[in-house]
Amino acid sequence: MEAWASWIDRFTLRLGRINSWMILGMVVGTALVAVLRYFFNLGWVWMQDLMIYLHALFFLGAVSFGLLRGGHVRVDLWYHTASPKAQARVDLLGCLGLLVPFCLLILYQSFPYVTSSWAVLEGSSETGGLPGVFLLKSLLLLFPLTLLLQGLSQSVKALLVLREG
Amino acid sequence: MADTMAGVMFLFTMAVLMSGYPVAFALGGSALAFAGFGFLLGVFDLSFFSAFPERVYGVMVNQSLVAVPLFIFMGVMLERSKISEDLLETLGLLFGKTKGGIGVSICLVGALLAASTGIVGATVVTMGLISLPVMLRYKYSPSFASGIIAASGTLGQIIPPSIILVLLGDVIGSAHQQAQLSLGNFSPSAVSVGDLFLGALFPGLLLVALYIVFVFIVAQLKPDLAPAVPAQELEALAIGELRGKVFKVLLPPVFLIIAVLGSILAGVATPTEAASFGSVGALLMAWVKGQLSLKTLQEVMESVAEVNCMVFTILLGSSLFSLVFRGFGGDEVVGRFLTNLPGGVAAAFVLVMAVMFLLGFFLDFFEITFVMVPIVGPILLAQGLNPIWLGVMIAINLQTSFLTPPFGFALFYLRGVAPKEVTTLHIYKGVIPFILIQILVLGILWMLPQLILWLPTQVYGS
Repeated sequence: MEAWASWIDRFTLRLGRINSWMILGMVVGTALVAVLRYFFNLGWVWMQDLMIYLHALFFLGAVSFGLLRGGHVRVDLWYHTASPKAQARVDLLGCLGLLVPFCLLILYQSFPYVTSSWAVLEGSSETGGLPGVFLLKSLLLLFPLTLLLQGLSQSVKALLVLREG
Repeated sequence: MADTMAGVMFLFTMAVLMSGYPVAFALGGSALAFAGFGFLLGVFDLSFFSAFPERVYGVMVNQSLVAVPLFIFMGVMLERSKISEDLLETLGLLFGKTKGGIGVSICLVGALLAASTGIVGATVVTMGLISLPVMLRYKYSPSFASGIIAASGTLGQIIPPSIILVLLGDVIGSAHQQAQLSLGNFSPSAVSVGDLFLGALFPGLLLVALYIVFVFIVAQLKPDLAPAVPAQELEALAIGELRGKVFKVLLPPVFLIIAVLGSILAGVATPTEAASFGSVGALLMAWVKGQLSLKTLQEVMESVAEVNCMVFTILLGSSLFSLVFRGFGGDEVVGRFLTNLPGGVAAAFVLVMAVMFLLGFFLDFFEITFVMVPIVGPILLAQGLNPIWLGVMIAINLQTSFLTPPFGFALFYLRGVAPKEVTTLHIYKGVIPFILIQILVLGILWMLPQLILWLPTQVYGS
């Protein structure tokens, strides 16, 4: 069980590391869009769209990474001073009772939403936009899946803390 | 029935949040649990959930929210290039020879950093680590010193470009649209993030000015609280080379502020584009200072990913919460209540501000903005409040709340890094005058809304 958890952690970490490069693309790309428009009067809708795509990937792709790193903010009235066991209890119950249902809802509701987009290979609503709206919408399924996977690992780790002596 | 359900749902969610589980999932998960409960009682219609994917997609393709990670990138990059350390040391030396000088320099640095970072807590921590020990060494009163640091550290929330104003601008913008539609105006003027930046500029500067005046006056009246640094000490620190150094450390942040704010003010760039200029500038600065390695870049990008996904996941969780709250008719309950108060819109406004202030003790800015503003915003705006004015007032109100004992966030951050001889009571006492200044500014802005509204009107002409 421990081995699975650490395999998931490594996967999430690698995914997070690779995904974090999107921000560099956004920095350079957005600056480029502005400069081209202002100084050269050039502009393409697909470039604007690309920034949107990068950002969607950047934040949805990082949610599980944030969970692994403890980056999601907590209302910290007592958590940081609590015993490791009490913390593990909150994490386990929270994961099973809050995070998992949240992910399942997104998966359940998004499935028809995404498949109907795939059915017509939905493109951009603007002329000259990126034609991959159906791919963009697929993130609605990918992100809860990665989050569920990482939630599983967090639960296993919490369970191990609770089982220790 | 449904009325009480909405109230119970709010309390239930607050209780779940107190468990300490990450806010984003606690908000979404408890809303979901409560919806299930309502369904079993036959008072909740599950088809409300089918709107959720479209809402998430709306967040994904929102152009103005792209500014958030870009501003975070700029802030984290600047933090890594040690720009705040340089500023604190140099300005502290420059003003050190006057009474209260170090205190004034901290207010200035707080304002300068605020304009370039805007990450909650980061400024307080840096200043607490670097300046607090220095101030104590030169016999500043512990409570006065910690008050100055905590207050200056929260300036980042109100002085543009701040991430908080970006998010608030977006939420207030849609609240405004909704309010106008409910009033029968089907082509309402848009309220943008840029409007909020411009609106917050003078109030932010007013706050800094009042902080400085206050520190200066206290230092003149009670020099024991904030003495000057002895002349021989300053000489030992090679004051002669200071002029050149001041120029060198001030140039980068001032340049960035001009590039970012200037391009928005001139109407050349959107806040998102200005944020990308700022980020490129921060990259260049780190490179010039020889602090840009592949390892640093990777670390910076990872922490941007972490902070950014934290913000957006809360946005998703809150959006599920609002959906369910609406499903229980909660928005109508709040709306009926707020429109029937004796005292009209002023009373409703004061009440909303008071509730936000109290929530600010234990919730972060993000939850309050994403949960409360979509519910109360349209109601207040439909009663005739100006959206830009309301946004800036909310931002200052929350900033004040983060400064207020016993639960203010800034106080916790400072407590975490303060030396042992500074007690929690010192910090509490120290921030009180600054809280009064905040309230004074809120009062001034209520009386003189032009301080907020003049600049946006000049630039955007709306």
